[in-house]
Amino acid sequence: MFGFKLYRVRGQSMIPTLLAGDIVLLKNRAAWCGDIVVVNHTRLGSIIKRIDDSGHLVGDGPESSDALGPYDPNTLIGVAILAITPAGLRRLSGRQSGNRA
Amino acid sequence: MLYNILSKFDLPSADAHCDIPCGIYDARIVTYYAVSALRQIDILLSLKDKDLSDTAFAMQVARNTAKKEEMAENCKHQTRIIWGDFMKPGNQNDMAKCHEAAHAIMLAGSAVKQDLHREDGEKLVAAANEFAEIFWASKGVKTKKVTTPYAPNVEVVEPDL
Repeated sequence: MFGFKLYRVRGQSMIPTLLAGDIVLLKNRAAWCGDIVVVNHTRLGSIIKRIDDSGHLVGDGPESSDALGPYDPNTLIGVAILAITPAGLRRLSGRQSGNRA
Repeated sequence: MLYNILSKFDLPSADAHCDIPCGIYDARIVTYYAVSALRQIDILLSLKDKDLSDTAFAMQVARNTAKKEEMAENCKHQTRIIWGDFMKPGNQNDMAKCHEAAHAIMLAGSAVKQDLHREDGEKLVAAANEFAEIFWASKGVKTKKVTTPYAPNVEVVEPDL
């Protein structure tokens, strides 16, 4: 609605930024390197990851790997701009490297 | 407050599983680390009876203490993964028992890290066994208790495959 969507995070690969159960507000805009995005991955379905400086999808947690491959703009569901957690709201601003992904 | 309101809605989910969701969950890793932590406690408690030099004693205490805490933390970590990613309402029978067992592991695991009491290690193994029972029951798999064929030779819950 109005270019925004809500998704619930499942799993722990985005720790410490996002915990399992957190809710994220997605905005319908182009993604930049450093942004946290929800994408419709060709093999894995809806996943939430960060776009690193080389344009790959990675988790923030220690169990992250680069096995997910490069970010494909055609798979974008939305850019996470706000974390809605039991502890309150937190803005997700990305790492702002300035590169269009 | 907003979180509590939104939590009542059936929102779509986005996976932040380990980067390749594999669907492999196995409570044996929880009991494995619990037993390992207990073993480290036993080793530490036995060091004073060994004829070690001060240096050797200090080295052994440092090494086994570090390992004790690592094993207890691994036990807690693996419990969190199974509890957070696998155990869900509707996916197994008794969430209240699941929460209770997971919390018992958190408390016992922390106690094992903080101090050196064998009963804390025993509590960790008991809680891990309880958690394993609940986990395997949720999968419809029968369990059996077996004694580890290595020290500390304690009973652990295994799937009866």
